[in-house]
Amino acid sequence: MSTGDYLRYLRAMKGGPTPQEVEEATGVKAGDYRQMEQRYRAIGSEEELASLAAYYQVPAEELTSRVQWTRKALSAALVEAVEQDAPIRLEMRSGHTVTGKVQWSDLGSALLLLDNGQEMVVQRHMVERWQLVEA
Amino acid sequence: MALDLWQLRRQKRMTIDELARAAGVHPALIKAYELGERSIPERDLERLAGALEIDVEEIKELSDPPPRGPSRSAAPSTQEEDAPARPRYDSTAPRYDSGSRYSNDPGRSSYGNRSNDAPRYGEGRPSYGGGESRSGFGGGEGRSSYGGGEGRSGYGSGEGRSSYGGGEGRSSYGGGEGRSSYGGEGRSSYGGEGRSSYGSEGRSSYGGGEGRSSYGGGEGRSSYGGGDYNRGYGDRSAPRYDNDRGARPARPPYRQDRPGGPDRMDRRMDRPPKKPGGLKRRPQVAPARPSQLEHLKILLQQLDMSGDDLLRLAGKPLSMLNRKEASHLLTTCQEMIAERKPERPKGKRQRPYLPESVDEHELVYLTQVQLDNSPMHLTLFNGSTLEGTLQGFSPYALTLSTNGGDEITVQKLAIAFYQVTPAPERAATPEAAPEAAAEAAAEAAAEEDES
Repeated sequence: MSTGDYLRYLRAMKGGPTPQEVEEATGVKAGDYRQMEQRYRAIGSEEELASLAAYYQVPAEELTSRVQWTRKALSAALVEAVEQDAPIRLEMRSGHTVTGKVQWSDLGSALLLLDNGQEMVVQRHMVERWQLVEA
Repeated sequence: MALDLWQLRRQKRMTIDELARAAGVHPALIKAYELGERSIPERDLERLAGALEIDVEEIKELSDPPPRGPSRSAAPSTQEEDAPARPRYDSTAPRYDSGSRYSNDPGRSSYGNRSNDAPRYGEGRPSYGGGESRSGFGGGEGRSSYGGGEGRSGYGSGEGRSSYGGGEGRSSYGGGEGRSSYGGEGRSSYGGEGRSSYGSEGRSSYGGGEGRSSYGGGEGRSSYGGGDYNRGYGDRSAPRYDNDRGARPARPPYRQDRPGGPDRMDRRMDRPPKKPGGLKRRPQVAPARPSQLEHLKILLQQLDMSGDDLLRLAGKPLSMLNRKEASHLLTTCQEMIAERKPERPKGKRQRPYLPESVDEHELVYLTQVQLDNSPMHLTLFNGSTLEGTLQGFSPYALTLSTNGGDEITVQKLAIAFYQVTPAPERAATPEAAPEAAAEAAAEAAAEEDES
């Protein structure tokens, strides 16, 4: 999970403060926090990440270690799954694991068609790990 | 260490006019620079350094004015350059008077005391701080002092009888045993044992040796200002200061005389005057870039356009296009392609502001779910679940109607995932899915790139 997705997860766990509220509380430059959550490339200095880690009460390494893990990695995996028409396995932070074929994916979520015919829309900030399953 | 301009000029034995000519700087400006009235701008620093054949850093930007003294022009510095070491201004200061001349005329005009028609510096009265000394800077009857004391001592202190202006002083300016005086009859030496004098009868040498020249005047064989300066300066060859330019030793050519051609100022002068309001030449438009042509070919292929179509569109073949025309044609082709593209699905989204907002595909999907009234099963981040049908949604929230009839609005951010039992006719079949899904996924990825 990338820093951006993880930050979004932490924000959800904290009760859903807005990015502006987070910025005010942490001193992160206005507009930066949203970009940290949403942009592909790594955004934010180490000081900002440390400040956010303190705000969310997690170790700073939890954030800094994910800096190189870009959001694009998950997007690329979802696109690849579509192109190869291969199922993808998503491990979620809640402990759930689902496997299905990707129908679409966008900035915030992806639709999987599960084996049982059910459709599941997974919010991407819930996905901890993923793996393409050989068809 | 940077030196004052006047010091450097004197070291090079140049007059202000010569320096001005060589550097292309007005003499009045140079004078102002030397007097410290103006600091030297960088441009002039460079010119002056070039003319003096030194580095710019060697010139002080703001000169200290030269000490008021007899040596005002291209005279060799009596202190800096000829003394073997730092001259001693000790007990018996040299004199500066009695016949030493600073003019062309070997005769009379002088800084000293014997001249009748020259400006006098002192005229017998103390100046330059000298207590009771009778003479000033070289004038009068000698005994002037440069530095003070009771008249006899000169530049330094002590009891020396010599003075900068005075009569019989036995000072030595630099050392040695000389009894020289800057004026008078002294037998001073500037360094060695010479008996030079700056003034009248001295048999001085300026740096040693036995030179008999004197820097000054009187009856001396050489004179500073004119006449037949013979030799001196100790063991160095002596330049002439007779203002007879023709007889001067050869000097390195000034800039304008060098083989490289005239200096900058001359070049500037030679430049033809600018025409008022002259037209600038317009650059010609370059031919189309290869990348433009390549891109055009691809676009024309997408548009299924033949060579004839292109001729109709552009008026000329691809190879004849210039950069501007190619750019224009590219825009036209892109617009034509955009017109051919199918419309995007309804419910075109606005770019969400909050990261968790409903994005394009989810918006379409939720709209359909709402229309189908399909049952949803939501799982939230805290592990709790909700079941119901979708009544409505905003970018940041979903409103469900639970089975009990309640309506619950859930923040989008709080949702981990949700499942929908699709209506039979809308169910995505494995056969139909890949192509549409691939397109959708690629679009999503592209948009995410943009964001």
